[in-house]
Amino acid sequence: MTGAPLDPADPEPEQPHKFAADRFKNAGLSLSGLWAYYYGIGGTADEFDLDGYLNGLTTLDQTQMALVDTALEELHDEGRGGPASGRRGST
Amino acid sequence: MAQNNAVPTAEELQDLLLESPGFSEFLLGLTTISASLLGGDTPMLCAITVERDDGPATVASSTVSARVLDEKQYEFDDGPCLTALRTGQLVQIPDLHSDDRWAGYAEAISGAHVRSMLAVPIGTDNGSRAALNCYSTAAEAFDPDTLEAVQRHADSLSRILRLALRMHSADPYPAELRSVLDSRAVVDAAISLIMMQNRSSRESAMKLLHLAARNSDQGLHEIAKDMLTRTGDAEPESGNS
Repeated sequence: MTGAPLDPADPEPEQPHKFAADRFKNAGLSLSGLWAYYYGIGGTADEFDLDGYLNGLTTLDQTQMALVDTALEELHDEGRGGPASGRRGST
Repeated sequence: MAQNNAVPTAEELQDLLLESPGFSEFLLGLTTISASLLGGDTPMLCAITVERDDGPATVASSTVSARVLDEKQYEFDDGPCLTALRTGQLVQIPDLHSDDRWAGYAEAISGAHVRSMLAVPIGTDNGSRAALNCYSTAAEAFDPDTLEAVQRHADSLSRILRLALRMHSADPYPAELRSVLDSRAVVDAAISLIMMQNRSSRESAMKLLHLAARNSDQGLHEIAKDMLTRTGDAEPESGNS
């Protein structure tokens, strides 16, 4: 399951950023690689804000938090073909 | 034998650069100018090879046979022109029949009836290498005067070639970046489609697309792509049903 719920009715984890940050750290991705993937699937926040979010310094709106989670999840799933990723060269 | 003045004017070269739509067209023009300026009683075949660290090698030749002569070297990954290009040193073969440095290559091009060759490096910036390659069907075609003319000609091409390399950089977008941009374009198009279909805001369209991705085994990008493909396929059928 992912950290940031899409539906506000879903129970929200207390610290979605921490969930995402842990996941990011464990995946061994570069910040620019994650941002590129997140941007590729429609993300609108800049890399600076993403960095701030992962470090618990800033917050993102619900949709963007959910997109960051989806990006992490899709990047984690190596078997899934997707847009450019932090690890894969191309589609 | 080269003509007395085998150096093109700066205006000629600038015009060529401005009029060429791409780098390969520019290089082709450069070889044609070279062949016409350097060719004398015996026609000379010219080719220019450019290698870039960040892109594929480009070979342009004044004739098809010159192109084959150059490309053969890439098959062997060795040859007089590649040696000139990679070492930055002039390479001359007065008579291919009696030269044993590149015997395999010489045999491979024996059908072309080339007897003598001259490969002269053209100065470029770091990150790229270039050489002008001249072929003649006559042995000993490159006497000291011709050799000097080819050398001067190659030097005169350096400035414009460096400009051309900057103007037409190999690939402004590396594959990874291009793939991200492609993905984003697909996602944006799918969002626009959902907005139109549902008369919704961008935000809710994004949420809908995202939800669809989370409830499937596919990535968000694939879902977006499927959505666009399905719409494209569905349209012609809608009139029949």
